[in-house]
Amino acid sequence: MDSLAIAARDPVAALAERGRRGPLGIAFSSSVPLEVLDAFGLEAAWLPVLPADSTPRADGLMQSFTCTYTRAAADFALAASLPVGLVAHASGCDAQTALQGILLGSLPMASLKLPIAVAGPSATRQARGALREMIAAAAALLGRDPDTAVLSEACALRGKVRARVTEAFGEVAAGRMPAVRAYETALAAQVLAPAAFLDAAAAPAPGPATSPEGRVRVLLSGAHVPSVRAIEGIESAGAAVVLDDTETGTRGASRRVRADAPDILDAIADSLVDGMVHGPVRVLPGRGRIDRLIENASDAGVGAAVLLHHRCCDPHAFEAPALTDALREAEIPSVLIEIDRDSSLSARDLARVQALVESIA
Amino acid sequence: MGSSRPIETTKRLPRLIRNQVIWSRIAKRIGRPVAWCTSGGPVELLLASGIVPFYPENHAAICSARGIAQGLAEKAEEDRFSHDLCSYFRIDYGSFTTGRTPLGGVLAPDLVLVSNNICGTVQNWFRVAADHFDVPFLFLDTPFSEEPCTENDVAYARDQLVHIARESARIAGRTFDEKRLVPWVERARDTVETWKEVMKTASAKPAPFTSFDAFVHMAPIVSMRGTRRALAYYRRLLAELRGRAKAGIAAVPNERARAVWDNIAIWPAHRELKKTFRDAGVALVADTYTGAWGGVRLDPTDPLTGLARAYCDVLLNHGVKRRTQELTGLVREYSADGFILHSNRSCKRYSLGQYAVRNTLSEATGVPGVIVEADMADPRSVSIDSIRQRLTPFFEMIGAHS
Repeated sequence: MDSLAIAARDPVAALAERGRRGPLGIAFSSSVPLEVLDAFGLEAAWLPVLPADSTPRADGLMQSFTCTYTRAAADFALAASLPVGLVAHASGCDAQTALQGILLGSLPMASLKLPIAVAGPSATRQARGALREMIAAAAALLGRDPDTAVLSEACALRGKVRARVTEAFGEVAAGRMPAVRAYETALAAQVLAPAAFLDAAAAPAPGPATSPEGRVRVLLSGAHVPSVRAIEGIESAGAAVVLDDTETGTRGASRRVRADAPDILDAIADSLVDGMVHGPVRVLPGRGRIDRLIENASDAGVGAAVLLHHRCCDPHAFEAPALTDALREAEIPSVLIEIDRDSSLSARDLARVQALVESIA
Repeated sequence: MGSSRPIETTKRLPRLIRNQVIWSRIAKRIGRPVAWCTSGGPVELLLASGIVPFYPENHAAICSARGIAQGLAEKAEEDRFSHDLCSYFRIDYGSFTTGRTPLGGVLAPDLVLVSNNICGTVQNWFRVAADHFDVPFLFLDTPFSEEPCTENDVAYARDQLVHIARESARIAGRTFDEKRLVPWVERARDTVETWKEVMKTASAKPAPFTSFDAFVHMAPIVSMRGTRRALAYYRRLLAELRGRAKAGIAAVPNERARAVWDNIAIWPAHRELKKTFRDAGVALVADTYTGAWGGVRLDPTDPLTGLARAYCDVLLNHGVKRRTQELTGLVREYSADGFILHSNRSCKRYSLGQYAVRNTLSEATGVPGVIVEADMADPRSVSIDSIRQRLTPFFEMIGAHS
């Protein structure tokens, strides 16, 4: 395994390694711009779903109807086994929203009050104001301002990281990269330092690309991919993931910052509103998200869809019936897999994916 | 101690609600638009444009209290909505897709108006409804904050209110005029103030009014805020309750202990719980749910900015810190001996954080608290026996007898 695969499969070890270099700046959401945390001199990372067989610290603070991502994130932060300098959080679902208050007394937290309705000039103004408020809160907690020179460099570097992840999924769609490798790339991008990630991602992928030929081409939709093993499970059932619609994958990497903008903070804020592909937690005009997804699925020649949801993830659960109906109309059958604490698919879920694949093949 | 007899004004409530329902239907028939609105939505903008508001949350609570919730929720689950989603949504969805309602027919909307100041569920719920009825979806996004809202937040909300005001006026065939908003905001402010006074009467010992009463009497503050009839109703109620407080008439005979409640009522077990508290001599003197409407501060001198500030500042738009402060204030102001946190599996916004609230609140006030697990509306997630098992030792701890 190369360093991307290692980091993707053991994110806690990757974070521990970075924690030895300095205090971590942990983002609980892809909507937190990591370049800002970099500019504060923190070892910035966006926390992936951590293995959560047991989350005793979070269980003492949260009810059972909290999704695994939130529970595991809280447990990690409360464990205090790594040096966390700042936890940054962005507006989103109710669980994420509540997390801020739950952890506030235990950890230094800064919140980014991004608009939920992401269209129009007032949303942009809110994002710009909210980003500055978050930076002021972080500066007060850390006792220093962000380094503006570092911010420009970090912004460019983080942009390259996201572009590389996007490219990886493009290569998957073109059959030049196995999906497992693209998810390894995406997960590693969350936890590795940007320069280290880019070095590792520049090396040729180990092993030959696996062709999706002969397998059912699948769209994977959901929030956070729990692990690379989940993808391996789906593919072991005869599916080839060729199109991604997850926070871990293309959505999280979709943000683009205008390089020529006169104000870098405005440019970062704008990228969080209209410079990225949003998930169902944000309100978009009309049925924009579902329509775009169906169009992409048709363009990618998708034969089936796997909706990989975390239990108690309300935004995706609300969207599921309309999305499956739209997929059916486009003659794309789907299966909804709901995962809880497991980081890979259960035998029952694998059988369901296999049944879907066999029904098409 | 103190004698006990039912609150007279309560007898007027069914007629008030019935008239509201009848008026809504007549208004719809004569061409007035109907808006489905969230309980934290800026209803004043609708009323000023002659739009009739209807509250799906209230409707779901009524369905639950009338015992038809389960079948309706199951319809949503049949249609692939997760059982883990909000029961109000599932019940309402079941109602508007089957036509089953205790109100004599579904009042179809001409638009929906949503604010996420009470939770993130409503934006999804009302989007489903808007898609179902193929009507416009108007959304007030109020940035959630642990700290007080900032001027940036208020400006953002105000921008959206201008858009909502113009759009709702357009749908009603009118032009938005801010001046026309003033009397509605004034009456809404007066109604909120009167409601606040109503709730304060429970600080008397014995309490003439409990949260079990407030859960019922809150209907006008939610669904008729800004109307003359709601204001008149609460003025009458307030006068009666002040008289009862003066005369020492107790809501709970032989009041032995007092408690504060957090979260929405447990509608499927409302009557049983009311009896449990009454039998134990525990007066539920205050709660954060009905109290939330007492916290809305409106400003008719600058109506839109005032509304923006008020709707951003709703209790559920703030986190653990503010809720703990609110509960601490209630425990002290109402001389409560303990508090009960309803861990409501349907409402993540309200419930997540309660474990932290319990610890901080007990430390701050020196009174014990208990968490009861249930659901606001889905009877399948409510076990009155389990709730009683949690309440019995708690009642003993706070000096009551069950």
